[in-house]
Amino acid sequence: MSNLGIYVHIPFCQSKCKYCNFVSGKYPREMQKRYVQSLIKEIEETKYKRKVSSIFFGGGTPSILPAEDIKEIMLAIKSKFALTKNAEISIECNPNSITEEKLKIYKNLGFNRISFGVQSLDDDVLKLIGRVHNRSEALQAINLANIAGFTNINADLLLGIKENKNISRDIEELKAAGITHISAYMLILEHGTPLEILAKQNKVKLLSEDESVAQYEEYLKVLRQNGFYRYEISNFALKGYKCKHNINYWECGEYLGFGVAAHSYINGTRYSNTENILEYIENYNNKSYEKLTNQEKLEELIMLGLRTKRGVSLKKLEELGYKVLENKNALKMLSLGIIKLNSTHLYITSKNFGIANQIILRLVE
Amino acid sequence: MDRQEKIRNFCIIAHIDHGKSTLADRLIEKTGTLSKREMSDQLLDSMDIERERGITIKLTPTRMFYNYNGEEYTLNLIDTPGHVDFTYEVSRSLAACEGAILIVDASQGVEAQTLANTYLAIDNNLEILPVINKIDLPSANPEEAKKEIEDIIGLPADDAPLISAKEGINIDEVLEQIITKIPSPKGDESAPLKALIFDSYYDNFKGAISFVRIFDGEVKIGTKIKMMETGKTYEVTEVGVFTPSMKPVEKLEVGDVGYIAASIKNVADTKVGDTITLAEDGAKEALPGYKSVQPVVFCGIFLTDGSKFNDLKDALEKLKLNDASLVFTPENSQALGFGFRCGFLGLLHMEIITERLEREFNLDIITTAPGVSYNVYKTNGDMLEVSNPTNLPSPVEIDRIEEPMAKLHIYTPPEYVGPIMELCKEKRGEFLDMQYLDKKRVRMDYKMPLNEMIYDFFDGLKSRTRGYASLDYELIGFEPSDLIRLDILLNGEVCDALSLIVHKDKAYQRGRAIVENFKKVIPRQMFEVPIQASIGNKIIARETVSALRKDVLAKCYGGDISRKRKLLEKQKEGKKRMRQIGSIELPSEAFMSILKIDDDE
Repeated sequence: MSNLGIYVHIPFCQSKCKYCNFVSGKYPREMQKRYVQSLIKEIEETKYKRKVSSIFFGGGTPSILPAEDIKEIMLAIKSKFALTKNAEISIECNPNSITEEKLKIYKNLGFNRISFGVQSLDDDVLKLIGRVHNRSEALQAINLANIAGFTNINADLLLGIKENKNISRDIEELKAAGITHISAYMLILEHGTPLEILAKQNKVKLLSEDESVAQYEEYLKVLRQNGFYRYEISNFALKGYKCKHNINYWECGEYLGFGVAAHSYINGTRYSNTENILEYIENYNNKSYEKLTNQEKLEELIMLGLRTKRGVSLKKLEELGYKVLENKNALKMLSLGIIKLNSTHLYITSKNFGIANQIILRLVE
Repeated sequence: MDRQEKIRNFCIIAHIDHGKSTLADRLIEKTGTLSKREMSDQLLDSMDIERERGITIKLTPTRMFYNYNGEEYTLNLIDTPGHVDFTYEVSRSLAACEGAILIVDASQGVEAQTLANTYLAIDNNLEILPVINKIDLPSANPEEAKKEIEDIIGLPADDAPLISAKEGINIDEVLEQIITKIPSPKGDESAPLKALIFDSYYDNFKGAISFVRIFDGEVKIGTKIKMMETGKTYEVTEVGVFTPSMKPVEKLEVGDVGYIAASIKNVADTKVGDTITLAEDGAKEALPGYKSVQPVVFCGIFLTDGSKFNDLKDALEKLKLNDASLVFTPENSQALGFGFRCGFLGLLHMEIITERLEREFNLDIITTAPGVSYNVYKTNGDMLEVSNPTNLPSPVEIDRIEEPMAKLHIYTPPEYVGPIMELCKEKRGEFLDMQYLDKKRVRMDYKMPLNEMIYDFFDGLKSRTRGYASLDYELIGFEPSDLIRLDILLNGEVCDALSLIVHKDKAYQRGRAIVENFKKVIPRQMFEVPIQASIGNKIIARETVSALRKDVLAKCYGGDISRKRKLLEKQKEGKKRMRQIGSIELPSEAFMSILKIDDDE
């Protein structure tokens, strides 16, 4: 049986970041309690019984919940699902909502990977984008995780902001602090976010295409120099620290998502939970779903697989009836050296990761 | 009383927006031909595009009855198109009438197109009835408008009814003058049939139907008729009148306006201007004025989706059923694949056809820059007519090239004379004459290559005179000119669909402007793309579109996948509107953008 991942969505934050359009926000404790109860019921009532190879608590900020809540949710999962031997269990934390005690509880619950929303080690940048922590709090939090015995620690970084200047210092310090994995993604002005308004008013300067590429390339260089290996468009890991949970997504593996706005993909069908938290609390099992056609499966296989360094499996492509060497656009891009083939995979050359969307578009056309 | 005495055949001449359709509607209403309820506003304009632009292209005749001094009169209104592209059709409609109502806007006065059509009417011996419209507007100055009619056209305008077609003011006066001033038809009822075709259209059941004015004789079901121009004969299956919907009658008699159906397969056999007579013992001589209509503006029409070539072919054939002046021949472009080179009466005609292809036939089309047809004399003595720049022979084989010339008449307030002279000079215009018609109006005559005129001259004239100048033109033959082909190279390869024939002195400037403009319209590609303009092998301008470097480096996890796929769907839709030229993707607007360049830039 193939891998199964579990995702748990905790939509609570200490405050909303200016660039964020995820389903998350600040809610009273009473609401949190009701949410956790519904979440646990959703887990308990699931009909799937499979071995689970990864669990990911994401958000929002799971770490702002009292550790007892996390414990209850985790116990619900464990009573329902068996775990594989090396299962990867991650939790997203905000640097200033984490304590030694919480980390200890996480460790005892079986969590073996911490992901910090660091975004930047520059206090000016952090302020600009509305983060509630600062540089020293971020480094301290990583240190606490070390002390608690975590060896697999991710830092999320936000790129594309002009004020981000000390790139190499930031990366070196993060590595020295014990970071083993970095998710680096470009700032996108999502519709309806405060940052979008600030940018429109010219209060935040965004980089031009060429400038942001220059900054991105500097990140790539520094990451490489520090031993972070790019195994996916926006993910970098020291040897042995790739994120299994996410790899499962990119390989079109199956997963179950619990919580508001969570998605599941199982038996060729995608289920989506409501994005309205009140509706979820009342009616947590009310999911919409779509059964993917072969064409949709193929498009997702290409769209997701090509994000990884390894590429998309030729065998899986063929199973869905896609022959790379019979595709005009693929042949053209192969001849231009934009994509390459080896005996098992079709992949984007690292130089061209930046235009992956355009490449994918042409392959599925 | 002779029945012809109680018939009046007339048309309406007006500048765009001066109220032709509105007056026609009021006449129809006033004579009780249709009740208000039956009338959709501006009834005579039947096509969507016409309605939207407020211009009339096709003529839709209407028969009305009006009681005057106890006698019932039959009034046949033949509508005329208002645009210079359709001058010939106008002249045939005029020829079908004895009189014309000349509408002049009380605040704007006489315009060029009105004047041109009024002269056409005078040439056809029509009685002209001036009417001053829009007297309800605060800016109306009827006395000044009358004076202009007298000074500029030379017609007495004392009696001109002052009306407001919109408000229905003084419409009866117009009807009275139609009866008292316009002569009745004076045909010979016993002579062999002579019917002038002033329009035709294709009906799926009845075949090509001729709209006619009977000058002599009569016609009914079973009459064996002959088209005098083509010599083809047919048996009449139906005759009728316009109420304004088509209503069969027993026969059409001398002086009448009506239609004739005779199971004719093609509108090309019901040529506007042709005379219908009897197949046996017919008239000896046709009515004067027939001309075979020649297209003057040409462009290539292709599809963004090349696999739909047959759909395009079917669509053009369907349009041709009703539009004999549309011509098209298959053409193969390296860049754009299979398509058609199409000929039109003018730019408006071209726009109408391309819009109808998109709107009525749902085709995503690409049109190449419009051009004219050149006479190319080769050193070996052959003459080629070249409308597609790609077909221009190599310079060593060419003895000389002649281009079609137009004579322009521009009417303008005096303050714009300077800017107009400048514009005409830029467009290689040759000054012929200038006349002060009165204190407020100047007429300027220019000779100009037709190709320069179709290349954004109208827009230039409008913008430099704030819309106050009006324009009319006629074709006056061919003249030798120093012309060369300008090629555009994308990524080092000539894109044949972008080639242009231009005057040598303008080649550099035009090439520069095109590559600069292209840099703006071509989106960044996956690699760097040079855009060049060349004459022969010589590159005269170059710009580079730098390679796309990133679009979005975003996270993509479980919850985002369906959202990402929807985004992908959207991008796929967007990409469908792009045209692949070699390894480059161009938005379809790029091909027309070549025209949208202001020489000032």
